[in-house]
Amino acid sequence: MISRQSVLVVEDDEDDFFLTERVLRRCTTGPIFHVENGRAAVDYLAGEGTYADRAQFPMPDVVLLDLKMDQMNGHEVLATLRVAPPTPLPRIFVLTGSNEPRDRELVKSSGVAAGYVVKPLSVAHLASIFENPSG
Amino acid sequence: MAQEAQADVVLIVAPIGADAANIHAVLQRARLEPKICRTTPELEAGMAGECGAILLTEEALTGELRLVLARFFASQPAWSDIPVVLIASAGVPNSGSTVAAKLRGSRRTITLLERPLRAVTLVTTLDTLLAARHRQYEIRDLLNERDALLSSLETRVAERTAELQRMVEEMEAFSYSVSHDLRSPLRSLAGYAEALQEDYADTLPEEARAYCERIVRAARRMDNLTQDVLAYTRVTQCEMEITAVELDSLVQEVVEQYPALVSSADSIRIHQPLGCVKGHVPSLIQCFSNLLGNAVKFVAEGVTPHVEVRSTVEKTRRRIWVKDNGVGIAPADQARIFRMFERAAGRKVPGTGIGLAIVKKAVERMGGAVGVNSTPGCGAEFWIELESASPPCTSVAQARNLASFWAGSPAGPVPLTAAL
Repeated sequence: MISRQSVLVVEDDEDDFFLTERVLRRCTTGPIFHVENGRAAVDYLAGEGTYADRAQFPMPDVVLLDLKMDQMNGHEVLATLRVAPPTPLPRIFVLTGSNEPRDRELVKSSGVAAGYVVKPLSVAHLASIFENPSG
Repeated sequence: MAQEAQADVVLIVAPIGADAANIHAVLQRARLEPKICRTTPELEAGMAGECGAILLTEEALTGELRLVLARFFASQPAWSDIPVVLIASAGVPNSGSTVAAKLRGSRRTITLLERPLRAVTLVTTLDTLLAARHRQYEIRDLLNERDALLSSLETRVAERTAELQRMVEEMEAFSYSVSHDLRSPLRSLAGYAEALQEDYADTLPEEARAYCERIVRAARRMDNLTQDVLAYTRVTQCEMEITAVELDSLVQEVVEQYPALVSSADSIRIHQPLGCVKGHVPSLIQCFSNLLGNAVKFVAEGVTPHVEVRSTVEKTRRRIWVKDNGVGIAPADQARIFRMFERAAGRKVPGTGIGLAIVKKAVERMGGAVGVNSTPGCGAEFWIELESASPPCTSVAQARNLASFWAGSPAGPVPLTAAL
């Protein structure tokens, strides 16, 4: 089933973004936005700075958030969103190469993420992510 | 270590007449080190500078002097018991003998000499007392040595602890960076090779598609290897919080959540109750996923896997058995397969040769043992044995909690041998 949800991908690795976007294109007809670090992700979700124009940079339905990035990593993004959650809060899924229990626990304890996916992103992952737009 | 001074000075307090001068002369002739203290401050200075003995005549024992002495004795370290010689007049129950009697209870070395005093008596008494004082100095030096040794030991222990801590942190940082950085290019390799196969399916010759398939397989194998090495370092290094663990739900979770097992879930039969053991939940999950993964993997071609999990108790230990109908393991290989990178199966069956090493290491760190019984061709029965525990067991909820959080991802909790 093809979704129409919009997605913001927070990813600093070019190859990972290419492969993630490729899978996303198969699963959603909605727009796909891309920022390359955590700082930009926070600005985007807050609608600040470069991303002030909501017509050009609308609030996405889903955020796929990488963990290991320069200029604010994924954990720091989650911590920031926990203190100042944007409205409406998109569903945020961590998409990371890390399978470390420590990362999972940190993400879980942030209370902001809806799920944790170990790369590479698959069609099956997305079917589940797009399944429940209200949750 | 430098030895402290061995003071032999004999302090003389004798206020009346020529007593002090006479005693001084006698001691000097005997090659001792007498020092006359005419005032209380002089005595205090002499005592503060360490001395071998104190010699008093009874007339010296004023209230003030007694106070000074009492204060001095109280300030002495435990090893020090300065000998005191009190010279009193014979026959009369005088103040000197009264004081001596009083001091008897104070556990101090008091020697009472009566007049008329002979030089030889005084000198031999002081010789004896100074010899005793030397024993005290020896004790002092031993105590100092002991303290120095203890404090250097403490320093060394602290240094070692800091060093170990640093090594563990380095190891963790290494694992973390392996997890992130080494795996990333592998993902790209497999990802692009798959993209080639899919996007150019029509134009790629059959042979090129097969090459792509090989690239994907090799990258996947490399990824499994790095993940297994990481899992191994984790069970080697991590702190293991040992709790009472209820195995029924834990094993059930493993069977239901791990992708490698989901397709074979029907062929795994769990003979409940498996009971409770003392263990570390994440390590137990790791062990059972590895054992069950092996059990369904190593079957002869065309054979449907059939796995049974049961549990037995012997005294305080509980043994959990995982029996399969696989190809079995030759006796010569049975010890070998628990070592790193050792495999009994040929190259055809995928595997890293680390899974059982992880199980062995994890179980041993939980205070248990592992083993296998097998006849080639007739399946294998692996067992792990741990300290038995009695309910209530709280840790199952943790496992559940973990599972529900990953429910958003269709693959469930990604096992350590996640597919690329």
